[in-house]
Amino acid sequence: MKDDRKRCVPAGMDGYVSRPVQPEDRFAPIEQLGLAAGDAAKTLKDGAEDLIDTASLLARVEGDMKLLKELVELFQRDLPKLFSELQDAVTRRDAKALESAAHALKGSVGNFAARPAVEAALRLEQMGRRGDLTEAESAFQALAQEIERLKPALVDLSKEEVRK
Amino acid sequence: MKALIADDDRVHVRMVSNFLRQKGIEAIPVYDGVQTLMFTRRTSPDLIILDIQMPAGNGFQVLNNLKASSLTAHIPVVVLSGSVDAEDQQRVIQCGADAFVSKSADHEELYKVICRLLGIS
Repeated sequence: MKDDRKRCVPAGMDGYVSRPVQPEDRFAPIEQLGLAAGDAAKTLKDGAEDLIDTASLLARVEGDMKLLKELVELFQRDLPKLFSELQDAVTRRDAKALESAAHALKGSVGNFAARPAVEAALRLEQMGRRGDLTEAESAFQALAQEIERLKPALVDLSKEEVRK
Repeated sequence: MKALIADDDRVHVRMVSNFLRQKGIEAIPVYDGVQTLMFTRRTSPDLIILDIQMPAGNGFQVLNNLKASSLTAHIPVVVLSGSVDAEDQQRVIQCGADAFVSKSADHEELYKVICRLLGIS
């Protein structure tokens, strides 16, 4: 069934759900297409689809799963440096450095269409830009959490698709 | 056709390079401002895709330098940035960039701009 999914995407398929339908899978492909799936879907899903807009990510790598795997490895290698720069900026309460480090991290997770992480990084970038760091510590924790959720999801995604 | 792609985000450079190659455009990756200036002179690209926030010379400094030299001023520059600040977008155009494309745009949109600048139909 995983092969089916892989074959259908280059052929122009927009979403894929295998039967028997898992409740958490049902609305994910619809949501990736940006269609309203209703609030029901939000309470049902809690998988990778929540963290990564896979349809958009796959389009960006032109369906090339080997490339995706390589990109995820590069991301994992570069992440610690970006993350520690951000942590440093928060600790030192350096608004300029915070803006710049959050911007870099936003770009890095943005490559993978990881919307929740992008939004969390954007909040920090804007705090840095405004020079108002009163909420920076909690915003940083929120971003750290998003990244901890994102990392295994990305690894799973690249593994799952390359396996075939 | 060859394009220099300048960004310190290696994942992004790899992604865009891959896309350009599929469109038949050779991609030359560089990761900071100094490399951008060096490789522009060394490889004479047909186009430069430039990020704003880079180490060792940000996009504004690189643009000013490129546009001030008669050797490089004619090379079209597309600024591809994650900046959501309208001021940044205006400023890159004032610095002589030929186009601004947001990183959140899809690659085909970038390609459209590239085609326009390179006269590819």
